[in-house]
Amino acid sequence: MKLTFKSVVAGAAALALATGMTVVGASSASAAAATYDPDPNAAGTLSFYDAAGNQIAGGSTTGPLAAYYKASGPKVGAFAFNLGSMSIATPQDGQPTNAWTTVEQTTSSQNYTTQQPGYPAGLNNPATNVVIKSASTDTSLVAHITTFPNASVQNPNTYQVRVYTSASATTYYSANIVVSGTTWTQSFPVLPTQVTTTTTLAAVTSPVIVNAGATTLFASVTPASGAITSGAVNFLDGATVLGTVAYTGSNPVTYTVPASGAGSFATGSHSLTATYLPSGLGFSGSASAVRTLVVNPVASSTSIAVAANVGSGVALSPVVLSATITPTAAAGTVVFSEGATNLGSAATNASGVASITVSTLVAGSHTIHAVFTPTDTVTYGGIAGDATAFTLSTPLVDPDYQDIKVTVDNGSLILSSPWSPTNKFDLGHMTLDPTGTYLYASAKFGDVSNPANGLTVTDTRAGNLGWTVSAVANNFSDGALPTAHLIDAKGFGFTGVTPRYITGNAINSATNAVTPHDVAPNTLTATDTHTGLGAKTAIADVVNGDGTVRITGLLELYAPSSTVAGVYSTVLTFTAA
Amino acid sequence: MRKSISVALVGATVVACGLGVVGTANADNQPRVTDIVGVGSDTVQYVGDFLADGDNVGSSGYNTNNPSRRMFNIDATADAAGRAVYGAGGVAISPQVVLRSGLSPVARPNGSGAGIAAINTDAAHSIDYVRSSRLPKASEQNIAVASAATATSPGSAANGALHSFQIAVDGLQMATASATNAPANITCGDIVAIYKGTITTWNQVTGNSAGSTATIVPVKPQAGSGTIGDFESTIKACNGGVAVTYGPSVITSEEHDPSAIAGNPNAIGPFSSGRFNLLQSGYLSTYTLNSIKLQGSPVVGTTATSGAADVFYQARKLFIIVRDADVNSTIPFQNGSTLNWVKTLFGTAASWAGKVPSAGLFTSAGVTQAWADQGLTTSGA
Repeated sequence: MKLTFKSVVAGAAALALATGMTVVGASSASAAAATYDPDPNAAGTLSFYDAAGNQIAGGSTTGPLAAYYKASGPKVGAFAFNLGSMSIATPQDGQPTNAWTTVEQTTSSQNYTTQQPGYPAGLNNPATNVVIKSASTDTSLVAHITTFPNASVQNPNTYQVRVYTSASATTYYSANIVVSGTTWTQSFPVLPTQVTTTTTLAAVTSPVIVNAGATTLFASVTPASGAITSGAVNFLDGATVLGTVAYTGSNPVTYTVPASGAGSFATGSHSLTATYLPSGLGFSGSASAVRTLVVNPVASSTSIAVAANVGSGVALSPVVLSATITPTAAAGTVVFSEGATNLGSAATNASGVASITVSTLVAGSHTIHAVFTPTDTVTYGGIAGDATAFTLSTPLVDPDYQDIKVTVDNGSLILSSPWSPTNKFDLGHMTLDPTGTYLYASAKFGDVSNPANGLTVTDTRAGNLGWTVSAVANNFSDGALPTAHLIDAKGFGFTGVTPRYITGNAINSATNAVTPHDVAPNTLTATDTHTGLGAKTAIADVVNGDGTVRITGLLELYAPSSTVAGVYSTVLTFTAA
Repeated sequence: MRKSISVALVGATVVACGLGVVGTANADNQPRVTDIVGVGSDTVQYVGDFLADGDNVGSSGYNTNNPSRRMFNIDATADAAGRAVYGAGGVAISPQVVLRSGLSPVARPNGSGAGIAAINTDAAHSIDYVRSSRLPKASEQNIAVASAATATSPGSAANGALHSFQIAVDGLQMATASATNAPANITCGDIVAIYKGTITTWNQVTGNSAGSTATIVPVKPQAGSGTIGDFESTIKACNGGVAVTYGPSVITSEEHDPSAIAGNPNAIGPFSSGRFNLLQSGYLSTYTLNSIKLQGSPVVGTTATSGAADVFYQARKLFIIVRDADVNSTIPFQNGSTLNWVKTLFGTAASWAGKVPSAGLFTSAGVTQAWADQGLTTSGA
């Protein structure tokens, strides 16, 4: 076996973070159309809108179905009156729709000509579409169902909503809804499938200091297809809406949170998101991933008072240097220095005082400088100060100054074992397994009784660096001519890998343990994909490497039963880095 | 015909046709066996007409969406303008009406009392409801209950007690011609004196000594009307609780018929505030706008009733009266419905007459929708 030093470079894979998230919006109507649809007695269809004028496809049965009912066309017939109303009808099997006796007027009669101009955009022109407005006093769908329950076999749970454009009209505009529990869903006319959208909130600079400046948020909305032309984007801090911005399809939309005052960020962590609110049924809503913004308070100012207690006042005698920090809650560390000379450091105590004693100050004038660094740099600021200058007198006896130096060598990482080309490790004779499938041999590479027969790792490098030991082997060869016979090294494995510690050593099982890694051999079955020692593999590693430890284990070899008789050899190389 | 037979004919009578009548009831159109028929009060007749067939501005009536089983509201007067023909001495010439197709004509019930009397003698259940501007009297209730005990026709419906539903509020004020010799705001006490005949000229009215010396013509509604009953109870109260004996100059006219007052500067008579609103809306082309005016200006629907020193005013409630046995009938009205006809049309706050979406029909009739179940309550002897 050869023992070599190699250096290993480890790399870290960069993770790509997802910044956008798509929320599937309300699904379009999935109930099937009724058997009588399209209604041959209807002048057209009906659609439902909320109070803001956005189309809806479902809702609750306990209140008005919608805020507005929009016919697909204008008044039907040449009647003088422009009063229309909405009715609900319960289907009756075997009856044409215009013969149903289960029709119940739901809204009051309304003059759509005079009222519609005040309705939301898209609903305000009776010349193109009659729109009936609902009121809280309308007959509810629940009440209608109680009076005229659906007993239809052909169209269960189905109700037809009608808009009559005149009390004298016999035709109407209609739509179908399907009721489930306390909700209704439009089933006719069938609505197109919503296009999904993705909303993205751009990264924000974090942390920031409270009230230090305005924060502008940037959001983008991307449809899976087509183009969005309406809607709104909400910017949220948790569940609180910071602001709502109209969206016309142009990215990004922005919202600026003021630096201070109403609507500004308070100190603490904020989970910011942006959500797209569609105005119709063509696109689904979506919400962005969370961006975290940390808002820190302005660090409280601290003060420092530096003092020097000169004691005897003689050079090279103990001088107590102290720094008192206020407020006392501002814990941290004070470094004392004079000029370029670092005199030492100390942590503040419960009274806010940090002190050291130095006995190296020579005769003459001294000005001590102290720098305070708080542990909590968010809440407290650092500060520096000087002690009042003082003078140390010359000692009665001249001091003798001696320079002392010490060198720390780089050290080395050494792998060793008792095995060599002249003292080969012998795996023994290979024997055929009981099934006659493969040849097998194994031998202990050191054990608890003879740990030195394994691999010894000795590390004296400065810095107490960690190390990893790896192993790799060539294919076994019998050296035959003209063509050698080989045993694939993939069948060569190192198992039961165990560190053998030396008593009192820095490498030990309690505080600085070695992590062993077995290398499984390929057992030559059809499904075994192990590469064994044929590929370089780590067998042990430790965090703080200074010290000595031995690695032992079982070396195993699997060879095909077709292997020609002979003595086969390989080189097992251990490397460490 | 019996109501039980109407159930058996449900399947056969469903036809695809619209009644399509807007505005006043057409007396030539006869009720079918599946219709709900009402008679009675003149005061309430336009409320009933509009509830049934919609008003004159295009609001839907009940029959708009229910052409096969209708609310059939037979007016108190054959004249859709609410006028009656009176012979000498104020005797009304009673027109005829066919209560159900296939029946012979009978006297048209005109007024609350006439309607209640008609339903109390209607063992065949041709009449389903009565419009009334008053609650049934105790005597009328007794007749209704007694008729159930004495019903002998096989299968005849036991009438039983009368159940009342308030559907609106109205007012009763004194009306004069717009060009009148009457002073404004005549007190209830002076109205008593006018109808007693102790005040015969306008200058005898309190505070009007400089007024006209023309002879006053007091007009009262026809006997049996709810209006005459309310008018007499109010002037009785203003007369110290003593019923007023009419003087010789009092004449009778159809209640709320403006023709008896308009054009006569000396005529005065009680008038429905709601009917006045309807007339002033231009609904009846036979009425000349502003040809009459009302004394005082209270808001219809207030509960105030005048004392002797007040301007004459009475807050009135308008009712639909049905047989109590029909209130809880298990026979559905419309095919596919879970509600009987009473609960569909009048009997709950969510009924056609009770629910808020129908309020506009009451407003068109000049009154205010106000539903309440009065149960078997009676008023007066």
